Amino acid sequence: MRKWLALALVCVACVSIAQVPAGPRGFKVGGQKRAWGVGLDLPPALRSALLSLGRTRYSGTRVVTQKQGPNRESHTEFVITDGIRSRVEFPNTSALRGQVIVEDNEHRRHYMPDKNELHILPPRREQAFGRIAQLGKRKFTFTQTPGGMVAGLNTQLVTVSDPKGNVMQRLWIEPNSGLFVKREIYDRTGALQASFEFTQMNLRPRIDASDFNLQPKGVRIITPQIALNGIIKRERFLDVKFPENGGLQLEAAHIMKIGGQAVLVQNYVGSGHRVSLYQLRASVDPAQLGRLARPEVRTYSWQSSGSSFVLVGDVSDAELRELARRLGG
Amino acid sequence: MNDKLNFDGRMLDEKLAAQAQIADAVKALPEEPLSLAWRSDLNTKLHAMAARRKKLDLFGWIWKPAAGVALAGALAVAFVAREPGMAPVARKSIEKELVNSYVESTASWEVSTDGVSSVEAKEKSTQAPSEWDQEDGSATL
Repeated sequence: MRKWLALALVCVACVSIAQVPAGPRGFKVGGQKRAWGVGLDLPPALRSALLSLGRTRYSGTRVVTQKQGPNRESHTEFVITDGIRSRVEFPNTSALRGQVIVEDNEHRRHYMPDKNELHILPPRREQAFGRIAQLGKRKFTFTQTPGGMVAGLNTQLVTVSDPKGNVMQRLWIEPNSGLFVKREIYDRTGALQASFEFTQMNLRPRIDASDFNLQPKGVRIITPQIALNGIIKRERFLDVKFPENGGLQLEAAHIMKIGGQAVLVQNYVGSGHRVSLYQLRASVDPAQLGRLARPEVRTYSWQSSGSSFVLVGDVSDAELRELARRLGG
Repeated sequence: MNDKLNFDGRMLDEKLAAQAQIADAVKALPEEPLSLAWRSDLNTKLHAMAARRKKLDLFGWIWKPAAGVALAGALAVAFVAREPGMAPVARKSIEKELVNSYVESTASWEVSTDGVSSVEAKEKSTQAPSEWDQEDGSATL
């Protein structure tokens, strides 16, 4: 009897060890297996932050600043997070007032009352965490130093640099909770490209389950596929896109102006990578594109039926070529 | 001297008299009236020639400007639209703008996490509803 009891205990112990999420090949958070892993060689604060995805609980005010062309624009967000769920609202003084974003591990719902639309998109938080985890797989270097106080919290600063020593990102992390309380992303010249900073944080918030309800009645449902199909039809672009079940998820589709003409932009995400497909009715120079490429940004272009297609992404040249081949490039 | 002058005067008188005789002979010829048929024929020919000339002038009004426009068009096609089907675009920055667009949108997307990115903030703060219709597949909750 004692033998059987010991054997049972050994089995339980083995199963428990197998469940520990410490492997670099992927782990479970919020009940779901992630497509990306957390490298063991990452600084402790960053490892803690990546492993805390889906386990944090807080509310706070976040200021987001983003550079577009020559301009930097900021907006303020009110954020409530409980595990895998989050809710973002905007102050009454904001141009985005009235809009609400609720995200869980399956969807991101963005309600725009002025348009009476509910946009249903792929969740973004996990992909964003995955991209940070991907940095560990590339030849970036990480350093951890004391980061001082941010939003009243003591932080550790993790600096990410490329092999030449250029600072790519700075991350301020509250080490006990693993919260990212401030983040800065730089371009390769050292200019600040985008940032966010919590100005106020509450790690013991009163959260109601209804905070994550977002089901307004009588609104139009818009998905990225609907948006893309609409643009292709209205603007008479060629119907060239990645299949829905091909490993890449369409995150957004929109029109942008380049050289005075409309360019169709399709943004795809998958496994911590981001790939954009541009379609335009003008010729592009592959040699020129090649010169603009950098280790973390690769390009591939081709022409078909009077249009040019350009793939830009943070994947290898071979992977981009393979993706282009699937589209007829 | 006087003899010589008298001789020249005589010769001139003789020549004038001979011309007068020829004039008299011509006057004496019977006057033959032009035939009406010949005149009619001439008029017809002149009329036909005038009509053809008018036609050529009118055709010139059409083909000369048309040829000019065609030539200008051909030059425009040759110099402006060098690649058929492709719109001319400022060569200097199109590739750079594409790469910059990716870099900026990715940084914005990364930093916004569960909030809004710059593209969303720009597009979705507008009051106008999106131009989706039922054929696009949008549904109403």
